[in-house]
Amino acid sequence: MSTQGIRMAVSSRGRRETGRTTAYVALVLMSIVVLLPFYYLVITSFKSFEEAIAEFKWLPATFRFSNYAEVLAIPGFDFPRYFLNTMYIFLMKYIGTMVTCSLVAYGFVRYHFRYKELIFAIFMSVLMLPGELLTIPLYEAFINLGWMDTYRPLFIGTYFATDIFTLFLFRQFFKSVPGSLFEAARIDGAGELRMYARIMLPLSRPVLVTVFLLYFTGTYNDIYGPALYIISEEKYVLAQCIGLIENLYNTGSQDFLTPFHLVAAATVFMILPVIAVFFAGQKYFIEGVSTAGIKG
Amino acid sequence: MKSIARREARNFLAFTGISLLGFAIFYVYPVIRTFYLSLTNTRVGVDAVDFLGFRNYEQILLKDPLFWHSMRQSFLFSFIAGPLSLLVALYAAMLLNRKVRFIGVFRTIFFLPFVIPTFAVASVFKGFLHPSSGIINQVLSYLGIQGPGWYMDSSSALATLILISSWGFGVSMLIFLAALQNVPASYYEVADLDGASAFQKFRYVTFPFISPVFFFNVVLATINGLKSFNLAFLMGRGLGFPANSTLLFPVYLFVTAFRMPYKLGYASALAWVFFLVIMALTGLNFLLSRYYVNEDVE
Repeated sequence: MSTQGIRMAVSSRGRRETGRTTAYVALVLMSIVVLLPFYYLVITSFKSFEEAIAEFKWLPATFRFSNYAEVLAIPGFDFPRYFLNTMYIFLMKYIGTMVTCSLVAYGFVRYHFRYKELIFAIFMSVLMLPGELLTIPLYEAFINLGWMDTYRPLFIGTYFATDIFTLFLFRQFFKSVPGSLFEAARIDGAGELRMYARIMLPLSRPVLVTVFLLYFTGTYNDIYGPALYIISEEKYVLAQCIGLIENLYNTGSQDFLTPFHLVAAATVFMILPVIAVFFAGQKYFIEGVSTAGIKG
Repeated sequence: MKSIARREARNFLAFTGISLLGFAIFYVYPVIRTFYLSLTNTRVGVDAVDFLGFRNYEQILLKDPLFWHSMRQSFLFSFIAGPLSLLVALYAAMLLNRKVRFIGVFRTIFFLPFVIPTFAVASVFKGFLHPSSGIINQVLSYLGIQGPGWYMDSSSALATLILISSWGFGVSMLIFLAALQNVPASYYEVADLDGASAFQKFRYVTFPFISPVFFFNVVLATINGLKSFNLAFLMGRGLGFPANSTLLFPVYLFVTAFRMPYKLGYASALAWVFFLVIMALTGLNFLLSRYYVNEDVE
């Protein structure tokens, strides 16, 4: 290697070192930007009302842990109930989707039917439809069925395998299971449903977990559905109940004071379960949303 | 032979029948019914329904300032928020792609906002960006800057929505990180030997490799941004507060259909117009995609 070549390799290494330092600085700065709202949230949850609405101070005079108890004691604000309401909807949706989508995907993968690829392509095409195109007639129908102010409109669809994305996940997964497993079971005299329950379902644990996480966060995040169908305050979900605290001192004028310290404490309560679930299933979660993110 | 085919078909239908039924009830029927409703003045609780032909559409396109306003807000929102958050995501992914230590910690931090439910994001940022008691205006005041009114001021509320939604760049970052890790290390080694600068390495090695993934996701995020509802609904108190500045199109449609006076017919026409806009953009993207997808790399 010529001296020039060596000098160049050396200088490029030096550049890489400075590059690394710059990268760390940039990463730390970005982390601060990302984490600052979390800092605000936690610190505000320990402030007094006066501190929370006054000019921002980085620390409260005293840490008021009592804010958390106070949130739970607000009259007409039943936090555990909103949590259970949310979990009920989540479970009903999850069970519906798991049972029907896995059965349907099994049918698509295991059996021959001349038009099945065409049917699945048509199913997939609805992933492009904006939800707005579907909601109005269903809203009408649920009113006529007398299902307003019940949870049924929020989960009934999942009992008809209408979650095409989950259907797609199951189908992709089932395709990777070797057919020879089923031939052996068939020779042993296993029936169709039995093969589904004994072979396919136990194998599809990764899908079960991924969809669990997507549904858990999805139900938590759903604002449209509850805003449409849930009216009584005792039936509220978590996404709705935060409004009750924000408007605690709302007397109808445009400028009312928001008790930011109680809002913050309530928000901490609400995001703890999602964060716990996220860390418990981080691996599956990241895989799941990466695929979902690409799919849109 | 025939009986086997028939048994297969019977099993197929036994397993998938429920989805065919569901597809008819929850997709086919609503799309058709929405179109029918769009030709009427149907409202909730009013039995008399007139058939209007295409007069709802005429009204929307010619005499509905809120339609044009909300479309404009949605386009501004998605055409800025989509590319912006993906550029941030790409930058973060490139930083993480160096063999730095604590990569897992940084990745988790950057991904965290995505996990937070939108309603919690909204409630946090209402305090965080509050003009008089929030952190950001406090920090700005240290620098002698009078901070804006953020979501409380109609001139900055839409920009505030864009900034908040860019905070959740973590998912796209993961996608880009995966794409970057597919770039063969030998390419960078050769570039190093040639004495390429960091920018040159980006321009001639990284970018050609990840540009298909990047542009695909930018377009997808931009089109999906038009459907954005949750954050605007929450920050705008469900009605585009202040002064319709956060009235994105989906919020306008929601208010028209599901709040007094429940104009289902008119809102159905809005939904069809929206659908056609999205289809047109998707089609346009399909035609243009061959220009930005670099075939050599794939």
